[in-house]
Amino acid sequence: MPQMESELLLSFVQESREHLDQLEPDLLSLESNKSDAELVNRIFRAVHSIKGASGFFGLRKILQLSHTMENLMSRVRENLLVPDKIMVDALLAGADKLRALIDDVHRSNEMNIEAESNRLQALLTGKAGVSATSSAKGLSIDPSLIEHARKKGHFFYKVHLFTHKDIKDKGKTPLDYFKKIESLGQFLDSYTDITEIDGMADALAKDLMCVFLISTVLEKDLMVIALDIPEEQIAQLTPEQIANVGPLVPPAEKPRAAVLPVAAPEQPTTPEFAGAEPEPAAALQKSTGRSRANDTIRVSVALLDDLMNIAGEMVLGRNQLLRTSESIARNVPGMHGLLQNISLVTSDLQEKVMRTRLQPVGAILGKFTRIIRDMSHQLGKKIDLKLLGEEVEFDKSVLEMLSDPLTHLIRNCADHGIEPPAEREKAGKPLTGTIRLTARHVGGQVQIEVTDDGRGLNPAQLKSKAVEKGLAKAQDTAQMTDRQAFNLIFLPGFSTAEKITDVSGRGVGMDVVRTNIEKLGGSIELDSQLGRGTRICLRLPLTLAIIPTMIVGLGERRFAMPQVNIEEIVRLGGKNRIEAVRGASVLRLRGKLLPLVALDELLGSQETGADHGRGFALVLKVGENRFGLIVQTLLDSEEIVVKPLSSYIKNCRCYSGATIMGDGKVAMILDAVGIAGLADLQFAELEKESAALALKGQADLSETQSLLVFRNAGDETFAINLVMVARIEKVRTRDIERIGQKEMLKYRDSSLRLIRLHDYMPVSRPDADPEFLYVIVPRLVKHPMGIVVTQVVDAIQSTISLDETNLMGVGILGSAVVAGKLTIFVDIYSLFEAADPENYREEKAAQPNLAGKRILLAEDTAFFRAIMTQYLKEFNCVFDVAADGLEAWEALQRHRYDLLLTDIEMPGLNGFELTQKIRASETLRHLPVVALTALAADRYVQQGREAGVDSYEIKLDKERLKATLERILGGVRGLPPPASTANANHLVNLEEVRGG
Amino acid sequence: MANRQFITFYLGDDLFGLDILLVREINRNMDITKVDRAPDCVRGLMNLRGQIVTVLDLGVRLNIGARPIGRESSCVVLKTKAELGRSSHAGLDAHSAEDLTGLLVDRIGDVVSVEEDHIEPPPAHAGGIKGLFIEGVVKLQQQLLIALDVREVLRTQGESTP
Repeated sequence: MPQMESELLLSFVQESREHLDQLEPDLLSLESNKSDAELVNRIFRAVHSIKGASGFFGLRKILQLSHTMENLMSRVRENLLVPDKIMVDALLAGADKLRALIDDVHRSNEMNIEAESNRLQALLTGKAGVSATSSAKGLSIDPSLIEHARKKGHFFYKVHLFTHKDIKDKGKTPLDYFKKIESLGQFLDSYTDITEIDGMADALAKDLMCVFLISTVLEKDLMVIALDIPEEQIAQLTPEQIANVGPLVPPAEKPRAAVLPVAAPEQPTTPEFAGAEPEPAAALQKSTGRSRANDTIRVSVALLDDLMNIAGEMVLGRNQLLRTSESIARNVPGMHGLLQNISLVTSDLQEKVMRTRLQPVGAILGKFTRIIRDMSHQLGKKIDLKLLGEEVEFDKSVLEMLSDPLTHLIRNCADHGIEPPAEREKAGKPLTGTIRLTARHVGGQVQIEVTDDGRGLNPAQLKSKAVEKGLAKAQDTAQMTDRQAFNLIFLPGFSTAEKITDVSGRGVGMDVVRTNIEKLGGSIELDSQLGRGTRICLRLPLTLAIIPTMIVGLGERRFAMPQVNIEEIVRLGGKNRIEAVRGASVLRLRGKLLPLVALDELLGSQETGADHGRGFALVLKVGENRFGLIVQTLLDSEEIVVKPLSSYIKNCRCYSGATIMGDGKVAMILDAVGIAGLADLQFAELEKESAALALKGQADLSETQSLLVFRNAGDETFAINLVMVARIEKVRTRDIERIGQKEMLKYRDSSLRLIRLHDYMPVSRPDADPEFLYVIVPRLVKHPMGIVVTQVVDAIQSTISLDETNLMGVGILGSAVVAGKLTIFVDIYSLFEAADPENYREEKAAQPNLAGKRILLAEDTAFFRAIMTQYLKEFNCVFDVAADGLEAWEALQRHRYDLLLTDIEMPGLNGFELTQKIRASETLRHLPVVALTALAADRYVQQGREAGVDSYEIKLDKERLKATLERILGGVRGLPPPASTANANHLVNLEEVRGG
Repeated sequence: MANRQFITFYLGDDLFGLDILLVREINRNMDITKVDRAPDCVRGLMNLRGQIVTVLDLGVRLNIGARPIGRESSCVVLKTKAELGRSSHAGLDAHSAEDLTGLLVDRIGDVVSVEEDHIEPPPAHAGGIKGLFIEGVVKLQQQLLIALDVREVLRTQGESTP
């Protein structure tokens, strides 16, 4: 029965591996927790179990090695030896060898274990002076074990077991027996007669006899029952007999049964180890800390995959059911509740099944402790690895694919990141470098961070290396920000090490890491500070089996595009025209050229002929590049169950899987990476073209503004910049309350004052209030009030040229033609001032600090220029206006200013470049620079900081702008503030902007 | 002498057979999603109670023209390697694919029982298809039954994607 035999062996191998898995982290922590009795016991038991079971199979080498390790551990347990690095090293080496032996169990007897064995032996003999001649041939019992057991009042037994008669034929495994013995008492030693057998198969085929020596509190008749074997196979020994039992030579010699008169045990416990509380037998298997619980069972992954699949189908089935029974449910009493119940249970089921596939990330993080330990030896560095969030759970498939990239990152940190102790000392850092590995959940994703406090990356070095290797052009790298320079590391063929070491230079670069992470639907980010350390952040989906997608239509068919790939969706038509550049279709999106691919053309499908100009473009991100995929229709966003593709379709390149939709039809899942490759997009070419275009058509660069267009009376159209709008509320006219002359609206526990445009501005008054009114609640003001309007027309994107002279008055910024209609631009600040003079006048009065300050405003957009000019006038500043960066630069050469207020996106010389130039200039480098942006995007903040910007302000936020100007210019009259002040301001303020 | 049972089906007027042990089920669902850029012989994907079946157009595979979908069109769904590996008939799994695969045919015929020694070796050509795809031929009373070599039919090697 070959199957039976291999099953027995398999279970041995599997269990031993588990023991080894636990053994390694335990050994590692042994070094720092030398006196942890529980830990020592756990290690002892693991080795002991392997030894015990290996005896059954005649695995001599495993037996011998584990026996030696066990001996060593028992010395430690009795405090005869103190574990040190050398010992842990030896034990680790032993554990590694054991693993190798167990991995190739059939040939284990031919393997060489001398090195490991001798190393351990040396520790045994050298330190403790005990000459434990461990040999697999017989039983040699540690005298201390016997003494220990005797003290506890144990009986000693010699038990004969036959592999076939007693074990296999009763449907048990040797391990069962072994466990049973462990639960009855203390297992002392075992021996299997393997003299007659050769090879594993033989060992399993023959009915072999095994001999056990056991100490237990149980009397002989109870042992017979407990072990379920004939009485004559159990022999009781005296402690003296057992001590001298020597190399046991089995068959015939049957020890005489002799009852030993010993004192009755005080407690019916199994022998416990020195110092430890007596524990029930079952607790022996349990241990403290991070060991496995016993109430788990092993289930094959294939079965879980099936379950997962079925649960997914069940969800789809439920969705279909809900859809089709909608009409029935209304007419049948109770049906609705029933459906709801099924719906809930199904969701629950799916979630639970999904969780069965989740594993704590600690399962792979654990091995890094070992890697770091080994590496720090090799490299002569001191490195401390801190693991956080080991309990965070991941889908098994994600976890498996994550292991390699993470290993690479950790090795990189240890090899390139952390400096040698001498270098660290020189830099004034603690000698021991720290690598921190943190896993945590962040909004439906898992984030893994690898940080080190090493030397960090040197952007200049990265740039020159990239140029040297021909991966980038010198003129390109010159313009790169630090962050962009860090990203060079992800280019294929880039390696930062001066020389390839055997530690981390393994032929795979960071590009492979990034590819692997992106394959998992994740992203990788790198940040570094020279001399301070590096931070790498991975973001990954929880599971790969169910993914959120956008469903798009092509004729009758549907396709699913994973949402991780989609950056945004652009409706084509109108302003978003498809243009041709060098024969390729592109879309001009915010001043950049986006290459386009039409899905129908790509697929060569017959359903073409649709007008691409009227579809949608999914803006997809592939690595650093973006492209647009033109689709005809946009259907829905849906979570789908991913099914693998058959081998016939795998080579199509444009699909990553298939799925079954709610109506039972099959839909293909599109693969953004594959599509980009298939369409052979020339990203680099377009990049150049984009730049050229930006220089040529400056008009295209003028910022478009998001406007909220609304009406108050008749056709009179108003607009506010959307940046200024916090929200719009639709309210019933009768819900508005009057208090004196003022109108108020109850809003979220407080009340909001409402104002009407016609009360303060020279505009028409509506005849009567309609049933519903809209209230625009502005942001960026100190004392918000709601602006009542009768109709909200639209939110539009438009470039406008503001006319400030045609229409003037309170609350009016100016007028412009928007979408063919003359539109009044509302100045919220002056409107509010008029409506609430108490609050706003006061502010106005309190601004002497800015009076007379000389400010240069660089702004290319007329609209913003007009607004900023007004603000500066109100601040009583003296100011000049430059229409772009170059003009500003010239003005700076001619006049002296207290501060530069600059837009970022400008033709010619942009705000960052202008700032860089200023910082590089001998005379101007102390000039405070405040950058203006439509939105404080993080990357701008970063970029601005690198360029040397002192502060960041959101355009139109008058209050904040004033505050910032006051802070920077306050107290200093007409003179540039000293560098230190400027720097301090800049740091504080960047933090603020980032936080907000 | 051992008997073998064949599921028979028509492509045009020609009668073909597959060993019944290899067949999982016959399906009349013709809701097949076309897969662009897939090899010609792939008709598309079909949902079989939550599992995805790759449907091959047997006509294309045998070089006798794509099958039009008609009233009697059927899909012969084959057992996968894993399924065959579990069965008691050892060695059959070599004759199937890893993934769930179906063959599109014009019309299903009867189940025919044939004595093993009545199966004749494949001729160079039969019914306009290459001998390569034929495991053997059986002379039935009215017609010639061409037993297909599934292994060859399912072979993906040499198939190039466009």
